[in-house]
Amino acid sequence: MNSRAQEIEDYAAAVRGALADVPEPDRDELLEDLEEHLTEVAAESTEPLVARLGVPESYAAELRAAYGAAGSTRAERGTARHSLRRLRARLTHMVENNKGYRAGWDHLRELRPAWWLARAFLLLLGWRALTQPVRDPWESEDYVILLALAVGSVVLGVRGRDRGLSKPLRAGVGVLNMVAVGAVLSWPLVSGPDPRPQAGPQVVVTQVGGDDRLSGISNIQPYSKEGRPLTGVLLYDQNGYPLQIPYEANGFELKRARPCDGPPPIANSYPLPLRPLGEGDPFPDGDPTAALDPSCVPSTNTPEPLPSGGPRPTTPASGTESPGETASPGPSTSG
Amino acid sequence: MDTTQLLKGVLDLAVLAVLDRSDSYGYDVVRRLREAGLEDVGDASVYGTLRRLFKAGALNSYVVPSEEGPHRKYYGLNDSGRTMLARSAKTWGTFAQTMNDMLDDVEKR
Repeated sequence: MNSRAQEIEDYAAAVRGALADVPEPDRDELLEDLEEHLTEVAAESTEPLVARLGVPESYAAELRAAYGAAGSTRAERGTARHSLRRLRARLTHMVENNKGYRAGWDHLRELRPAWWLARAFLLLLGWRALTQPVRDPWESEDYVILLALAVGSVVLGVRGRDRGLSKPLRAGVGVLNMVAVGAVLSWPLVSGPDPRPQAGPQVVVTQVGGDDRLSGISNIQPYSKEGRPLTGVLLYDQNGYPLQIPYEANGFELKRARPCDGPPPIANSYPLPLRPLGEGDPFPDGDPTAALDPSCVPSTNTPEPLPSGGPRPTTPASGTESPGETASPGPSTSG
Repeated sequence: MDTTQLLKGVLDLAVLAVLDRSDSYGYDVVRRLREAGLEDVGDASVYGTLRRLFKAGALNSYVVPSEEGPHRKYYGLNDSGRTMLARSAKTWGTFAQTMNDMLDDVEKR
């Protein structure tokens, strides 16, 4: 008997599915006591319903024909638009009548506000991924944009839910939704490893020791592990002292403008801006600290070039807040 | 000859005739049509016809609760339905007479 009830339910669901495209009041009218009818037929004998009534689809077709073919006119049938509408009606019907689907669908609908916020976030992420090959840290303007996007997204969402959107607006929202989803899906492709130099520990010079080792070196050209040249890299020795190369001994001098009253701002920021000694320099024997170039830059605040002595700095960049050419490992300077 | 094709044209009339004798619900209408000799009548066709006649205003309907089994939606003829039945019966009578006359010779042969 239980399986009989199930049979009736399945048969009725199939018939309803086949008539899903009939407009609302007519369909209700048409299917009103379908279950009652099936129950009576089932009580007649133990014969399966299909044997007595035919397959649900033909039952539905007969019902539709006898009723007067409400729903789709003859001219409409067979057109692509019509089949599409039918398919959509069937899918909707399937979702509406399957308990599992329905429960899942209802949950999804409850989560819509979360999606409105998420798509704003994803949209911004997607935009950043497209426009910035290198991920910059979030700036305050990014948060402003995010806030604006979120507000817009929620407004659109609430309006769409409560009143429905005009056709072009709906299409626009659809496109934006796809962009947001696309941003998620393409994320692994566009993100990749961050090519920016990481803080301190990423650049390690191990073979820095006595002066004899450095005697032949006039400059250091740091590269990231991806082979990208780095600038403004601060180097320290094992004791935390700034690493300085005796470039003068090798015939070079700093070409950067320096304050008149002190050493160059950061003497261990590599690569050093060097030029061969005597090239356009009025003091060929130049000691860079002593040679007071007339073009030197008067400085108002005392430069704090070197975090002097003490334990090895954990984040060298944080100790250097001098003006001018500081270590700025941004992609904007390195290309 | 396939009677289902003939049925299509006269099912309205048949259903109206059944309901004219007494009010009835869908499944009962099917059964009475079959008992009367229209064995090929389809359940769905009868149900669809009932709904259409109701929508057209020829029938009134009421639900009768049932203690055992499902509740039943009964249909009955209203004035409009009775007018429709009378007119259709006349049309059918004329039509049937014409056909019988045409076939008179064939049967005698």
